[in-house]
Amino acid sequence: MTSKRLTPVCACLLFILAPAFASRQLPDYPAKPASDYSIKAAEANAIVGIEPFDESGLQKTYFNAHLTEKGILPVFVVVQNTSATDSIIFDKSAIGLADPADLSGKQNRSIASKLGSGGLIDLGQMRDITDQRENMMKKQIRSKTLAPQMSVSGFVYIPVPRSQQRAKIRLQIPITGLQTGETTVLNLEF
Amino acid sequence: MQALGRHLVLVLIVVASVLGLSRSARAQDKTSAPKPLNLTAGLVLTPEFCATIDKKHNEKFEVGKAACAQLEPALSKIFTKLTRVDDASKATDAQIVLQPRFSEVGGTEKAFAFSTRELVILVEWTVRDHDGKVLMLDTVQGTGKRHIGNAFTYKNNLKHIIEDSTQDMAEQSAQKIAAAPALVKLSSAPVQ
Repeated sequence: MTSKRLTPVCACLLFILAPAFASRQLPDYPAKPASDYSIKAAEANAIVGIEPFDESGLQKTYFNAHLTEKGILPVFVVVQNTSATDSIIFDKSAIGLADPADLSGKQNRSIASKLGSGGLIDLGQMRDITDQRENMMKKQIRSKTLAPQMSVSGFVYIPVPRSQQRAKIRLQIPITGLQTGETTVLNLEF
Repeated sequence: MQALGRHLVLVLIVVASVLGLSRSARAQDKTSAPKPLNLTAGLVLTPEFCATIDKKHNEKFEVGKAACAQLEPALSKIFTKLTRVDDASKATDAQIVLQPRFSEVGGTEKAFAFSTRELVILVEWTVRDHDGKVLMLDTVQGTGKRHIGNAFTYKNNLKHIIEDSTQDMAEQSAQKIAAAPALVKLSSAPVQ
């Protein structure tokens, strides 16, 4: 009798709470100063620090998914303007890989179809996993003009072969001086 | 059973107060109107930009059409004069040229009609002076939240979530452009 009465109560609770659980927010990865990262590169007015998310636990915490198994390696990037007077331009669309990833083989076909400019993952092509995609989109690094001493951080998504050890990756990040208009490319290998 | 009923009422009160608090927090997030810039600007809204449609599964988000309807009124408030053009080469008499580009569009999926879902629009702005030199490159996020809706309300809710997110994007764009240091500096420079 009691269980008969409990059933509608549980159904009612599920009805109310299900949307709240479904839309739970995943935490943002905390950024440190770019110089604190073990993998970094610098030029006259900027320093870039990165942290590849090779560890599955980190991916689960911040993306609620094991992305490497899907052929995606998230890499956290911090770009910092170190100049005291000049602004710099960071253009996300200009980031690229020095060597394209080897995505041959049937198991990599799906990820090879999602590549955008510079050989990185184009989230616009990811139509099959939309909830993950939205979270990845929000956490992605964004183009920005950086005033002196300011920084921007976020993820870039690099294609990696599924079910095998990844090769060395060389990421190229161009930085343009706002006053001079000159562009310098910073290379990071990991 | 009475105890269970009391617990259920308590749960409902907690859920309602949490929803109420988040609503009031969102209302407080609304910032004041940006300070206008003493500049003439050309707003480049190309036919391709205005025709942007983001397709996800069986859904179509006509974000370009909504953005083109809302950007001009939102940005005209922060300039002395704003002229809408469909090609950057037509903005010859403007001191600066503003060009938006859809960076990403993403929406969450929900299973129930009453579930609230979110539509996020990222637009990248490039602002150049009349010589073509980049003065600002920045990304703006617009967000809209609505229920999915049932068979009768789905279309209307879809229309409104697109309008809400593009309106938010337009307002955020005006705030960001009006506060850009390079534009503030140009605005305060003596007229030659």
